[in-house]
Amino acid sequence: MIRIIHLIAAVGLTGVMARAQVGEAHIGPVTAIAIGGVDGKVYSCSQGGVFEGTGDQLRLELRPPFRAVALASFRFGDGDGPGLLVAGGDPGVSGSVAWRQPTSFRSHRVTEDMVDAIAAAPDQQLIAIACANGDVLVREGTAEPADVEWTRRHQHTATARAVAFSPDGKWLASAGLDGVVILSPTSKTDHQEPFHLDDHSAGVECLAFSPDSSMIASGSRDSKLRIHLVSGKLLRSYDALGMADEPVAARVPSRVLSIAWGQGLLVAGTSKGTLHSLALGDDSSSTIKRKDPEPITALAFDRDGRQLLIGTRTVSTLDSKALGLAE
Amino acid sequence: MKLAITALRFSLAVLIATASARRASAVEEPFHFQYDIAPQLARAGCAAAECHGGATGRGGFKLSLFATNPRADFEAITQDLGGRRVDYPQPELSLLLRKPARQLKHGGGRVIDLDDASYAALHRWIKEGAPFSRGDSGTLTALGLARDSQHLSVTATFTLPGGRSQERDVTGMARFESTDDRVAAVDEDGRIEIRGPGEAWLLARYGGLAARLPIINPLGQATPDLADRSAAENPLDRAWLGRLTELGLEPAGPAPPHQFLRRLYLDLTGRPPSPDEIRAFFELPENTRVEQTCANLIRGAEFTGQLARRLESWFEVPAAADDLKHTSERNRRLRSGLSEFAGSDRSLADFVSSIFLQPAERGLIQRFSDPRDRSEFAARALLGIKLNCARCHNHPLDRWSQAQHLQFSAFFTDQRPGRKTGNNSGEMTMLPGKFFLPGEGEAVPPALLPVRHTAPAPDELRGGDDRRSRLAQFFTVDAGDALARNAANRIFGMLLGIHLVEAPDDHRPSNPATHEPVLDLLAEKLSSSGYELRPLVQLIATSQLYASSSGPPEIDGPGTALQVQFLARREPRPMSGEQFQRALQAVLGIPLKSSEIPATPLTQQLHLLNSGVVRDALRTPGNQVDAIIDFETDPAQRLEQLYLLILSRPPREAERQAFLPLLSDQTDPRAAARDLAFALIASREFGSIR
Amino acid sequence: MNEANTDKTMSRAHTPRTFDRRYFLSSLGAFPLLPGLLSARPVASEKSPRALILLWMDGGMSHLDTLDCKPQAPPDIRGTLGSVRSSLDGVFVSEHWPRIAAMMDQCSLVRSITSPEGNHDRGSHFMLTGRRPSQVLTYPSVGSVLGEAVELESDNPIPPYIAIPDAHRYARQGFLPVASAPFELSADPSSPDFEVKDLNPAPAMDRALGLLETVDQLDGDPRSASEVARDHFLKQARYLSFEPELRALFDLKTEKPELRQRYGRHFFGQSCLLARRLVEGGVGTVMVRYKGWDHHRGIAREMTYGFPPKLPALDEAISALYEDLRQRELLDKVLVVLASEFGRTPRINPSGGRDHWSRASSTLLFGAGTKRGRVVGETDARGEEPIARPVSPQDLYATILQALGADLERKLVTADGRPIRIVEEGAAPVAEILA
Repeated sequence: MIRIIHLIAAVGLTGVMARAQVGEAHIGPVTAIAIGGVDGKVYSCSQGGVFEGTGDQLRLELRPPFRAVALASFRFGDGDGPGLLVAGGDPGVSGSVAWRQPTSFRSHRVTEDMVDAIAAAPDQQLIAIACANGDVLVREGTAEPADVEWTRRHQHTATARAVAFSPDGKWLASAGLDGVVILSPTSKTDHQEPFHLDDHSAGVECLAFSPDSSMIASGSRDSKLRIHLVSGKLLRSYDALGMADEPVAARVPSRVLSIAWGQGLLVAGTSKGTLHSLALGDDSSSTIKRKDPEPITALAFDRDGRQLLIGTRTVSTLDSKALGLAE
Repeated sequence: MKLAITALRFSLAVLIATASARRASAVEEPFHFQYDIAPQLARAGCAAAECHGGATGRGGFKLSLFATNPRADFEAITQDLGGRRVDYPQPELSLLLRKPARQLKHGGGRVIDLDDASYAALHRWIKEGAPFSRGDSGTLTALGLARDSQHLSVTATFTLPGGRSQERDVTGMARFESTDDRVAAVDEDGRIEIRGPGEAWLLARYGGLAARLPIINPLGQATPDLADRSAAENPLDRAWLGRLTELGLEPAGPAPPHQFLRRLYLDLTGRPPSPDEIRAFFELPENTRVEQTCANLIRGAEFTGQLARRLESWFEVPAAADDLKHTSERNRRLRSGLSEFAGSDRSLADFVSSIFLQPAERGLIQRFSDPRDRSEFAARALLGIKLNCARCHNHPLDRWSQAQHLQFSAFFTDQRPGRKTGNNSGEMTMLPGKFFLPGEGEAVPPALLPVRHTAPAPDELRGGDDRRSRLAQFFTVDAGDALARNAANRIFGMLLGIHLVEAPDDHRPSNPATHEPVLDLLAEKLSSSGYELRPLVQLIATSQLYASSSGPPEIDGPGTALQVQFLARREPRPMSGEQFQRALQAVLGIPLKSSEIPATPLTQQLHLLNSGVVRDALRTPGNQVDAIIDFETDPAQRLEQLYLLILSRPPREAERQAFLPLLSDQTDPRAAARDLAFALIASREFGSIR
Repeated sequence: MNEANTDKTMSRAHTPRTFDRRYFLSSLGAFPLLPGLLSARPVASEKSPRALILLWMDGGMSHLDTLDCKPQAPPDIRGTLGSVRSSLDGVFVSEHWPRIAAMMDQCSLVRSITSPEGNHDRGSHFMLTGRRPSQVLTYPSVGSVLGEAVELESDNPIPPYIAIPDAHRYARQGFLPVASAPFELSADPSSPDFEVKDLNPAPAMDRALGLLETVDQLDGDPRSASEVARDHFLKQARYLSFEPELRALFDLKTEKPELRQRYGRHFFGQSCLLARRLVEGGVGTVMVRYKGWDHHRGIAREMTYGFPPKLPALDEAISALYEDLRQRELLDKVLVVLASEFGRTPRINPSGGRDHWSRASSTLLFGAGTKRGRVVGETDARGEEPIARPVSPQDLYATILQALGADLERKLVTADGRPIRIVEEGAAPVAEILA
């Protein structure tokens, strides 16, 4: 019996290979980076598929039967060990989520248009996805995907671009192109309605919780990064990220596309290819202009927090010390 | 399991091999999004105002209007939403192709077909990794449009690095339009269809430039022959008759003399001619009477008044009746300055310079606090160009970019120490000579507008006077041609009641003059004679064009409308409320009780009929109608004089028959005369400038 | 400017500045026989479906003291004017509006109008034309848009759009031809010697007018569009001045004194009565412009003192108008809208007044095309912001047009041939109140 299952899985994998045309390099922008929970491996995805590794040490990990745009590391409770959640879809046609474990791969069509982001609660009990139609859906994170329904937790009035659970597992946050960040308690027993942070004046592209779960950072299309307490109070706003080199008369706005929040370090990446590290204590920030000004579409800290992983058209690394700030 | 893994590894190896092979054969031609992809989007209509080019885009996808901002459009297509709109491994699955080809639901319907050249171009672009540019395509410097029977061809001239220039056929990427598709229509491939008589200009747009070509389809009426045209003394007439011949239109011939004289007086003095003036005109030798009368009137104070009023609307100074409390003093000073200029011999160029240099006239610019309002006003009034579209995006119809508009506006900043000013788009700080956009830390660097495709280098100016004198020089020298064209157009409109370029503040390639050669001639006359306005007025007022009949035509037909459109025939114009009041006062020779002049035609008619203003005027001692009744005892003479006084012509036979019995009736001759006078004043003929 | 077209040939039509004489000649003719005009032409005939009475409170009527009262709010928010429950659940209206309170369940109330335009001109423009002011175009107001279909050659001598006493600057025809301009009465209907400006013919003018006709006849046919227009308006002026039935429309003395009393013997009351007469007589839109609502100081006093006190005047007149229309069975043919350019600040200012507040305001509607007893939207406890169902002025504008049966897809044409939609792109009529 197990042999047959393995064969089916293998065929499945091979089958999906047939769709692609090229090999061990990302194709197009890297849209997500996830760090394997147990082994600390770096996974990233683009139109070429899901890869493991960085720089020119990239290895094609898998190519799902849909375009992968989002990743989350996930540990399945019973036995199967560390795995990946992959989300994406066929633009304009369908949105899918796949469960990928060492010995199994299952994908399911979930919605009528793409899934833009996926996150797993720290205790692995819940999975949340952000959809192109603005819905933020949630379901139980079991190993058997088929039987569990998705329920809608948040509703944005434009594409939902990002979703995240706070590290302590208490909050679920989502962000959308309607310029709103929605926060709600993860546990449904808390009887609190989702509330909105709507200070952004343009669509929000990315968000990240602070490691201590007290704050949430959101980056938007009008070059702003805002930090709120999870209670809703606005703490800080950093403006004009990435706009330093735009001519005053003829500007194309820079968009904040990615955020990573490591221990004591908050880093944001923009569509102009600039990297900004921000210190909350003294409001200081430093900008790192990179040699190749490709948009920074994904950011993550590695498991130790010592390296920053930067997703552009490839995945590169930067020592956290080089980010230039004390705390 | 092992089998599966082997299969996997094998497939991988094959695929890697084929991939490398494919990569090696990438095309090496230079490529630039602005010249190779953006035009496809504009052509297909994706970037039109009601589609993705609109203010908020459509369906979450926003392009710049008519794809005039390549950088923004490139980002929107390749970066937005994680790059979901393009699929690099399988380009045909890109949303950018599937939606407009209607393979997926698309609000805009099917915009391109799978076998279109634009589909192929976009497909290839995505396959090559959707670069913004590759190599150096050079810069587009000129666009040429040519016609080969029923086809248009568009040639783009590029300046390559190193100075060499290269021509490329961009017919397949240009956007075509016609200024009048009742005359000629052009489809998206540049195929022409001639539909009716008249003139249309065909335009091609590509890469931010436009080129145009006139198409004339003559009507086939009897046109003036070469001898007649050359015999015309007035150069304006020679140009005009040449155009009519080209268009196949027959000139309507001169208006009847009395009608012409009334028209001339109304245009040059604001009132009809008095009976004495009519008689004097007809006593002059026939071949010089028009010239002499024009010259006399143009020298007079009444013409100065007419010119001053025209200048007020030209330079957007409200009339006294429309003043608001807080602007009335300022406007009074501006009006007085315009009036002084109108009455003087100063040239327009001199006046334009003083708008920047002299405190008195500077008020015309200074009354706006926002430098953008100032630059837009200056462009409108002096060059006849509408810059305001370029506030929000690169101008969709003309070549001004948002950046150019801003930088030109930066030239108009105050030199006074910083003051905060409020305007509808938020607080704006101005430091001496610097202009900041809301929220910006860096000042906008000033640069002059590149009129005539030559961009003078942005000047590093310091101090108040240098910038102002540079602007004065810009408007009178650098942009002198545009100034002449604009002024000539406005003077023409003052006399003809219609401009050669309508609206007069909207000169642009897609809005050509009714008669380009005529406007060229007038502009040239103006600029070569030192920009003096009165000689131009004399030239126009003494022309056959001006003196043409305003109908009705003997045989009406579709040609009549064309004759009017191309000024082969003139059309009657209504008098405004103020003009009517002025004419009435002059005719009756007494000041009228100044009452508010009604604004709408219905209230004007009600006012005329019922307010008693005319009745009372006719009963005021000393009015001209009473003078006729007192002076003439013969009813026939009274009739004659009444007609000459009010309608500026003798009565026709039918009118004599209709009204003589009334005036001959002895019961109350004064009342009878007054009633007839009322009827003539309220008549359709009186209130119309024919 | 914007060459909006989806046509593949991308050609733009050129609108000539001439006119087709033959077309106009064939349509010149007398107006139809007037005796019996009013009875032969009921208000809701096919030609003129429904009429609009726009009661415009000029200056920004405070919503917290009228339609959106907050009795539970602290005193510095709710002010010193009291409120009462209305017949609409959860809606409190001014205590000076007992009659309106009772009839609220026959109306539709939109409480969540919100806009960024807090300036009189801009706010008025947005409400009256459904668009933010633009440098490029002057937009026509709702009355002119509705009247635009009335062409020069129509057989109706009645002006399609009338303003009492005059039209707001932005309540005019904008880029539409001057035939769509409002006819301003320039007089106060409550004045004992009320007469429409210049409507009464001067004495002993019969012969002069007869001669005028002869002079024009001998002149032949009109020779241009402007001459045709002049002929049309002269004819209209003559009918308005001389035809008894048309003149009677403006004669309030023919109404029963009790009815005049019921409406209230003041400008607003008599104007509402006149408005009813006018729409009954076939006028498409009547705008009653009640000035003096810009209460920056002493708002409680401003609204309740004076000759007449404003709030009681509205209560009298609006309830009378409702009753009158109901009795005459005109409620499904006439739409009445009570509106203003914006609301006023929830917090009473140091001068005892309220300042401009465009973030929240209310509009009341009843009659044709609308449902009864509907409340749309809600503001927060302080009346500061909508907390549910925000409605922008362009949505309200679209709602009014749709209630009157207008085709929202229709396009108007500017003088240089540009097609403009009658409502702004993205304007969504408030479906909850549309019948």
